[in-house]
Amino acid sequence: MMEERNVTIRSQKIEKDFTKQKVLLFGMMVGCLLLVAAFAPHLTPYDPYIQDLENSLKPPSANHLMGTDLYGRDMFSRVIMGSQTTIFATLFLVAIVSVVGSAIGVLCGYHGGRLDSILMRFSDVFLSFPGMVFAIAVASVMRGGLISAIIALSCISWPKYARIARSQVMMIKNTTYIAAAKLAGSSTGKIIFKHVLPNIVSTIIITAVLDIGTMMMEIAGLSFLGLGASPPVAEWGSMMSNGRSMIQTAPWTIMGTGLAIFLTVMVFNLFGDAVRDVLDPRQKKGKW
Amino acid sequence: MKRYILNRIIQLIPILVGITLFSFLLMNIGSTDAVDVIESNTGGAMSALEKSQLRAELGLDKSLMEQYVVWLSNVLRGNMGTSFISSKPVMPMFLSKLPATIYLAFTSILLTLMISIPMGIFAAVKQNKFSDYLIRFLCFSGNALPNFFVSLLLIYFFAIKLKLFPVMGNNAGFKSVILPALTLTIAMASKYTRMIRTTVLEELNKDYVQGARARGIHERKILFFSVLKASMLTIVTLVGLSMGSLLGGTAIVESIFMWDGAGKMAIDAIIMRDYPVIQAYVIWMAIIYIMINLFTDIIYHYLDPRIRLGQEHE
Repeated sequence: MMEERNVTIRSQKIEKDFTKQKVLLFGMMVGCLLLVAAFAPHLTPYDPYIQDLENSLKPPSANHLMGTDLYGRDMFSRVIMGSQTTIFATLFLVAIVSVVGSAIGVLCGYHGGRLDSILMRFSDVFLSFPGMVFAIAVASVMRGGLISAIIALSCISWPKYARIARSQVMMIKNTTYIAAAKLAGSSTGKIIFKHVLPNIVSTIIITAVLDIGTMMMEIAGLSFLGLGASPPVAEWGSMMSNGRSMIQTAPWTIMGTGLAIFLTVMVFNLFGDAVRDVLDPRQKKGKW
Repeated sequence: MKRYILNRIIQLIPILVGITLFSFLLMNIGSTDAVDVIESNTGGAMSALEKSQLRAELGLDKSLMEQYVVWLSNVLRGNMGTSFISSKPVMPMFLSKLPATIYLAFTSILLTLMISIPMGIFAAVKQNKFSDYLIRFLCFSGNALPNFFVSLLLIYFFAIKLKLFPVMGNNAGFKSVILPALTLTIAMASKYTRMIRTTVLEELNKDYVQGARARGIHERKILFFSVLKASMLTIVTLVGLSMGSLLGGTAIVESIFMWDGAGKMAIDAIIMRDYPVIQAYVIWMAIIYIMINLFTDIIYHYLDPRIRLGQEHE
């Protein structure tokens, strides 16, 4: 009996080490992506913006790993340059949405009352639009390039964070230690920052990290429709939209970029899953 | 039961008001109004007097709230305005495009269920075997593929290289729906398979399954009668939840495949800044989405007595 228990504890420990290693591994991959994105201008073999019409639509070769586009620009350089736009725009979006959304959620959950019901009705309305449909409409009205795409996606994504934060805060609010803190004379700000936030922050982080991949595809999707980054800026979605009409004669104009989006989203998703497994082992059971 | 449905419908009224108000404001906060758009679409050259006359004619000189009330009463009578581009009423135009979108969405849901239910069950039964890992890998990949890339890949391989399907349009009968539907299916099936696998695994560990096994009931019978039945709730939830992204996804996929539905109409309208058309699209998609959610909740009510009793208690 005792032995059996030791074995399970040991296997749990191994599994725990394994999940930590996964975070490390995928974290390093995410780190590499971020480094590439940050130093993109220094890493491109060619200038991603200079047109070279003599080399228009060349298939992949040793000189041009992913071929060239209609204007003779090196696709590989453009994909690297595009990583900066796409990855940072996505991280910016996720950061804004998770911070603002959870702040609203904490406020609603903690104060309750009329403010809570007004803001929650608001989030009901936002949630009742099919996400991308609404984002497409907002982005099309604003026509401000990448910024309007980010605002449009923020509009549809904050209610999720507000809901999560709110329900967590409402649970914590009624615990005895909050009552004790109140009795001890802590100010509302102190209670929120010292006692409430630390308890909900891991849930928010898990949600945010798991959202990165989807958000990246949505930003690229809006750009693909011409509602995000506008040419000549190298952005993955708009680059694919440019290559789309040449798919028959020059498929490399979309393949390299598509592969870049696919792998990046995959890495962020794997990282998100690993982070969830470490921060919230309860959720892991039954998932993969 | 009737009371529950009635309650839910009453709860929808403020949301509907919010949706219409929001769509209305959205189309009216821009610095350009309908008259500017009409002017630029007709090639410019309108005098200031003509413009102000047209504004008065369209009611654009009134306050925003007044405009909203007028607009809403028109909407309630089924009049969503006229297109800036074609000058035709928007509502019949939208209704004529809607069946194509519903056909596409319905086909992809059907395909999704046909793929993900067997795959999810299979992966659960073969847990941690090679086929399970393979299915999990496929799902993970499917989740990381944006739908515009999937559609371009499908077009390249199946329409251009293998010439099995038409590249675009919806006039080749059943053949033309396959590729766009498959695009939408890949993303959904990845999610569905994953969730169905998890649910089936959970169910398989429950006591009633052990009991059934002990009584010597055939494994296949347990799977398809008891476990699948218990997993229905998850499947209904999934269908309800994915409706939002499905409706948004149809817009992108329709415009890539030149599928002549409501989504393509909306994307075209965005390029031309045809606000009444965009407005009609947004509002109707939201209403369809809400109705589907309501419907999902009602199905829940039927499927799960615990939910039913809980709600009637409230």
